[in-house]
Amino acid sequence: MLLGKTPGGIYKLSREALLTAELPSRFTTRVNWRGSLPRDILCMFCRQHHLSEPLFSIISHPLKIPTESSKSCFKAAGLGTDVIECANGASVNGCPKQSDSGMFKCEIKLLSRCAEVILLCSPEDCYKKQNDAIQNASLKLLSWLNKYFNSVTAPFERLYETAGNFGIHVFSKNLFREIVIGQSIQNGHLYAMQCNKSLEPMCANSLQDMLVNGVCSLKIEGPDSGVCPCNGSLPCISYSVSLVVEGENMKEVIESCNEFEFEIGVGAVISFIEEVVMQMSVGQYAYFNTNLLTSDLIFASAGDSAIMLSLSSSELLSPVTLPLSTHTCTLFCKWLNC
Amino acid sequence: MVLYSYFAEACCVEYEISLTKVAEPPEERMEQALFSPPLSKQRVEFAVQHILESHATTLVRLAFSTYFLLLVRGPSCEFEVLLHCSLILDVDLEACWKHC
Repeated sequence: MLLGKTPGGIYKLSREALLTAELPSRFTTRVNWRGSLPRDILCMFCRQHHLSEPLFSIISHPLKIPTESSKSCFKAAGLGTDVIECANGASVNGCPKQSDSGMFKCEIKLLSRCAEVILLCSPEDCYKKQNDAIQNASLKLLSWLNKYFNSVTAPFERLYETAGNFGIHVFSKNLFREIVIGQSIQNGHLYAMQCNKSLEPMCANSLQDMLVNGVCSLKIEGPDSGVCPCNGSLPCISYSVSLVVEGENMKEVIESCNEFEFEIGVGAVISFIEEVVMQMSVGQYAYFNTNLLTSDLIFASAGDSAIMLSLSSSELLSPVTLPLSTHTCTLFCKWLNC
Repeated sequence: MVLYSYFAEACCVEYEISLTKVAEPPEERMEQALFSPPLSKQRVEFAVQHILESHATTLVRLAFSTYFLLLVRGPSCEFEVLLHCSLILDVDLEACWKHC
């Protein structure tokens, strides 16, 4: 699938929760973060798109403008080790000594294969820890990119116009356009398969059950223990996601996890899941239906084998590689033979 | 068939969730969520104001926070010179020694 080429997809894959996890919008602390760190996701994104490793620069506060003496460059040479290149020519290994009272900003340069600067991300936010500054700047850049990949119908120009809001300056518009446009064409095949199913038919008999946005027939069972998640807390859930045929006794689990932790309030899970969990207390169970998931995510979660489909229906437009479980694959092939 | 039914709009996605435990947020995160400006900053501002108003030269802080002491001792803190004596009492000896 193409999920591995988008910032949100890389994060979902790192959490092994395609139908539950979302790339968080904020990095609060290292201890609260689950899954691949923003910096690692950004490096992965660059590798997937055949770009050079991004260049991370730390700027010490209160200096507003980077100077030769205050600026160190971190070139991500791999997931584990950093080669630190100082702008003044010196170089050291490992992290520079952290000042007790200093504040840090981070700027990131995205480079082409030929080391041409494509864009510069330099958020104004300051952090007490260098690592927090790096992770936050990386996440800001990823969030901006993700906005585009999440909505392939959005024109490139709209993404370009919002760059300033994220502290991003695009140097090479043409190079950047090639990256995102190329991806959007690929995503377009999947987008064409989206159902855009309305919740209304599903909830036609019980509109009053539509308690939170996107959720239908929500039931919360079990005694209220009084221990509820709040903003900033880390709830741990056990969950399963199934495809269910209405009116028939058919149900197939397409994703499950016995221990899934996430931080409340940063968008670390699909919004309706967080809204439901916020209504629960420890020991309770919740059941609900939704039709708001896109078909590409459903396919990606459906299993580990793959078949090649070449369909010409209005919903499935072009050949795509889809991973399906053996059971689903068999059923699907039967349907194709009919 | 299930997958096909999904596209035929006869199928939906069902979630079953069990909340097994909740870990409280760290103090720093709770401050961000509940207090603006952060509680530690409010404490420092209160102490600074009180010290300046009372012209105190001695500070006794029970169960001090690291953040507080750092600010008092920091180079940007003007009233550092006003404090001739700072007495620290805390159950955390390690923290006391670290910031004495």
